[in-house]
Amino acid sequence: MKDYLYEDVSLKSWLLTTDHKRIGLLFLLTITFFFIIGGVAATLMRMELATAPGDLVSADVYNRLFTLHGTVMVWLFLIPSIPATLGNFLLPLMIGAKDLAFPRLNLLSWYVFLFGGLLTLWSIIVGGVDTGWTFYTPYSTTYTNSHVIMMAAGIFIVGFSSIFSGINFMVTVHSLRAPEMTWTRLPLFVWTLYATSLIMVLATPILSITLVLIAAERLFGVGIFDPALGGDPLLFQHLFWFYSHPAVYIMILPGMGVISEILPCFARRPIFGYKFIAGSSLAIAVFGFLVWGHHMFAAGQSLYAGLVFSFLSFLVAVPSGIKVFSWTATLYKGSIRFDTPMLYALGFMGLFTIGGLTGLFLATLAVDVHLTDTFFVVAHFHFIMVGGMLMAYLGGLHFWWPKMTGKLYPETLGRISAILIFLGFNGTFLPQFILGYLGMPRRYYAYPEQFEFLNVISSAGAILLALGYALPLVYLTWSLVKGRPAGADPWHAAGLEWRVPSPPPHHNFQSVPVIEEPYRYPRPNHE
Amino acid sequence: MKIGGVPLFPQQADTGAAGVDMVALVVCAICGLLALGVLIAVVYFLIRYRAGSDVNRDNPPESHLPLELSWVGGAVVLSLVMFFFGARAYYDLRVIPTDSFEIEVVGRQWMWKIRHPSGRREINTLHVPLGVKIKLKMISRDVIHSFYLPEFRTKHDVLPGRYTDVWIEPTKLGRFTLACSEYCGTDHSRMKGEVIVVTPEEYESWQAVSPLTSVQRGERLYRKMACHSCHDYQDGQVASGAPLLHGIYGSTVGLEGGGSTKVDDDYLRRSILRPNAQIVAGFEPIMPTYEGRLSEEELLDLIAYIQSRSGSIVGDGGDE
Repeated sequence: MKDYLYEDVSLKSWLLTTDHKRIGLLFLLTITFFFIIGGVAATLMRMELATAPGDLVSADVYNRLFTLHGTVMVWLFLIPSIPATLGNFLLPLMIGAKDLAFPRLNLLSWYVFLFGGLLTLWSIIVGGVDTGWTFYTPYSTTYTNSHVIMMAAGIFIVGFSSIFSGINFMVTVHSLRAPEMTWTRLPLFVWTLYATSLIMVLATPILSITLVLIAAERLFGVGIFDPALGGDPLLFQHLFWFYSHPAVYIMILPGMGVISEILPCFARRPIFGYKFIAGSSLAIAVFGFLVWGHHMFAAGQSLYAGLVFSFLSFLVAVPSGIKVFSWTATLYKGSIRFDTPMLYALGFMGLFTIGGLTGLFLATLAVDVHLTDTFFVVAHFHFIMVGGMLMAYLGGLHFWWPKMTGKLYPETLGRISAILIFLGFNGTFLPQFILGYLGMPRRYYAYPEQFEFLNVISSAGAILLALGYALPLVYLTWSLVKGRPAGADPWHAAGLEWRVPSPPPHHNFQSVPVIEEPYRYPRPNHE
Repeated sequence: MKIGGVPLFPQQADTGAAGVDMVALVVCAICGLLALGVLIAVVYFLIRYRAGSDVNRDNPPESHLPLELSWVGGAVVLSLVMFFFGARAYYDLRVIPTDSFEIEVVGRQWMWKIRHPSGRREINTLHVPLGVKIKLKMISRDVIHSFYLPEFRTKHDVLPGRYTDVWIEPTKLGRFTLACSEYCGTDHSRMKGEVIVVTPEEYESWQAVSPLTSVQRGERLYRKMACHSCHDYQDGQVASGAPLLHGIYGSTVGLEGGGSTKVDDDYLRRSILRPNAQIVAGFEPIMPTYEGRLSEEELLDLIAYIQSRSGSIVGDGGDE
């Protein structure tokens, strides 16, 4: 029987496919394209910031670059990154299903994403947007002359892709689990996809409404956010962060799921604290909705609102702590191998821990007043989103690449890339914590001379980081042609996806699989 | 603090700065210990339990309820400690001392306009007296800006349409950074200035050179716009159906249609610009709107004048 890649190789069969595995690959290609665009913008920004005066590009171009970088990386890369690629590919395989619950909705999700993404890109090509990805009012509604409405429309459309995926994943987890695949036997990756979907479905509509309100004010002068029209600019911030803080968890939860799959496989033992890890994913999804005000401690929100939001923000840190402690305990009495996915996972643990702990500085009210809107914040969220999510994404990609393509990549190059990214990342972002505490505000095109030395280190780190990202692009592509055949289970991993051939056949399973508990490492017949 | 010419820690130039740094240090210590603990455990496990090492691997635990509950509990307790320290210092930052001396700040793309009580004005510099509690009353003419004083460890967003404030108490003579930290368009990074801390005597003589105080400017404007013809006694009578402004600042008034409001800067500003939005109970909506006819600076002058007629005169700065 032919696998899903070769069952029908016509272009039409790809463009009209309803196979979750093919749609996962379509998303993979699309978001890689957007990642490169966002990465080029970041490179230009770091080049500009290598010297204190503004000299490489103009201030307006710089402002467009960071808007482009933020918008593309958040909505066109990070949000869909793991759910739409690995999630799409693996969810049915992991729970013993033939496909997602709504295969055609899944394809629609990709087309909607592609259309919205290209519209966003078009707004950049025709002149760009200079509001930052946060679109703060009244700058975005009244003062800027850039293409806000077109970009907002693009993101509005992309939002529906998130909602479709979220609904699809939730229904699939509820209705298509194989017999005996009880909730407490679900792979932890599935738990995080479920929690992520919950946020996607509940939070994304708020963003959509907010973007519509921006367009209404900008196009028709309806006074919602601009005080000159009778509106309130803080209302925008409340609405925006009510989506965008939970969105941070859309971006990190699936990464936590990937790590919870990789660690037990390469430690050759069951995960420690399954129930606490699964429960903490749901806790993050729920508490994540109650902390948006911590973006506004110095914005004009009342003192008492600040106190409540700070308190809740500390509580949302607890479930993340539970995960880190449980992963650490998973290494105890293991038999640890250091293959590429494991190096990425260990890198994740280090960077995510720093990212999470520096978040506590920002949850601490008085300290946040000094640090908010400085480079400290920039460093903090890059540790979570790039150090955390991107490491997890690449770790997951290296872990399941043999399953998705049937090919093995060169292991040495894989390890080099993981180490290079880890070092380059720290070089880029550690100096920014100091810059932030010294008081260098973010979104600065030119900055005082005294900050130059630390910025030079940061830019030098970014060169290593860029090399680290370029490497997998090369050898993974190479492996498609020249890679050795992977076999069904190159890592001796547990989990249903490893019981089918690589690449899997169109309908995944020949017969309905029988479920034992997941994570039964070490697997008795393999070692 | 500098190492080889590179600053690594900002100066402290405010009475609150050491407090904020102390809280940051507490958080840093807690987080540092947690990170170190995790790092040591991970590295130890990675070395000891590397594949092929000859160690006891019998019965690896899959859960351990007391351990798991203890780290949940520990995380909650440590969080509460950090929350408490942060909240206490935040309260000090946000609650403005009643005896503070008031300077007005108007932000606009891309400059800071400063107005002292004596009437002296400056752009992108802020002269302040050493050792005096100073409240900065701030408003923006266009988009949101953020008034950031890193060496004073404080900042607050400056909003259009609403007054916000920060307070400082300088502890060091010299020049310090003033920056805009909320992105505000093309020249955001050039919207910066300097805080110049001088002795109270120097400040007194510096600000004395000014023709009119803001209260005086406000009074002049009050006459010019003929506010008095409705809002004051005319020959012992209230001229027409408008609330008397004498002594109204700081009082609480009932509103037409129910409810009440405190007469503060924001209420006065709104009532000048859009009088019909919140009408004092018992009056008719007959006042014309002044939206677009007064600048933010003129509004500040008018409010200063109305406030000066309430007994509680803040802003003359005479005894500083």
